[in-house]
Amino acid sequence: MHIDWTVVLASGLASFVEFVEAFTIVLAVIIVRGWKEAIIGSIAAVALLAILVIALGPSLTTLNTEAFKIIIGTLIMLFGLRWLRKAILRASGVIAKHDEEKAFEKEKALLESTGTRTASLEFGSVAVAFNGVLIEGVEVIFIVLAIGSARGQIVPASFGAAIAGLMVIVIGLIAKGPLTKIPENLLKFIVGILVSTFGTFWVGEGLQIHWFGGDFSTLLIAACYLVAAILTVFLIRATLAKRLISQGASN
Amino acid sequence: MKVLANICNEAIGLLVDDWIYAATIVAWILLMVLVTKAFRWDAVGGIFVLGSCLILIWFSFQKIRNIKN
Repeated sequence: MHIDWTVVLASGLASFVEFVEAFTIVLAVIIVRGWKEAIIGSIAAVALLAILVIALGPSLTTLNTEAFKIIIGTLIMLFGLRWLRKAILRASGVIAKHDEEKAFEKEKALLESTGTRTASLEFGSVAVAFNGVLIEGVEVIFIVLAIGSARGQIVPASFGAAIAGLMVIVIGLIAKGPLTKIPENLLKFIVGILVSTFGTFWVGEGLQIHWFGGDFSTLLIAACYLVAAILTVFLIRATLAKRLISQGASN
Repeated sequence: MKVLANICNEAIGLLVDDWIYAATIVAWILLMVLVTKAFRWDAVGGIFVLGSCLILIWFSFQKIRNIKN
């Protein structure tokens, strides 16, 4: 079989961007919650994608991707903005900072008391990993079909996408080490911004909004959420401090 | 069964605890769907992001409204 290497390269490069977006979401779930939720969500999405490819094949390209992106983007936005609000409230001292060791001890005690080794599974985190992998997975399938089917090179196009996927996973796992050294609450703040950003971006894509700078507009969206979040933390802190002063003066 | 119960618990928690917040985000997205269907504004992306940021700021402030001390 003749392999057109330009197809491999084009498919690999185009898929690389999609894999980076999916892996960012999965990595966020690994950092916030753990491996179990990220792996279950990702495997479930890959299984669903495999079923879709087997069942529909090339006719997948006729699917209404806009509606799909709006639905998945909305779900991701819901979880992302919820996480980000919690991070804002933690940073401004409204709710207690999460103590991982305490949470682990509580979980351990619960498992020991019930005599089961099944740890609790957080639905939200599984759903975020599932949605992230599903939406980007569909895009990768579209890229492979669009680039590959035009020249009868589906296998080389799939090969290019697979290499890109592996590269992103390896780079992501290397990056995870340094990421774990960042304080937990700061990390959750960043993750909240990232998940909200991708949710917003995907809803916008579904609405066929022409984002300024294409995929790079995610950086601008993230900057907007970052500014809004930092501003809110300062405003809440100032409000609480003002309240304390006025209470002190009245006592 | 325990895993399933935990999944249901989390899903219900999301709907019950933050349902007004969740409903506002969904309503905002639906409004954007209508706006993009009716108009072809270049600025709609910026409006969408700005509105989402304002929802985040507003609902973060709602949490401190009931704090007395």
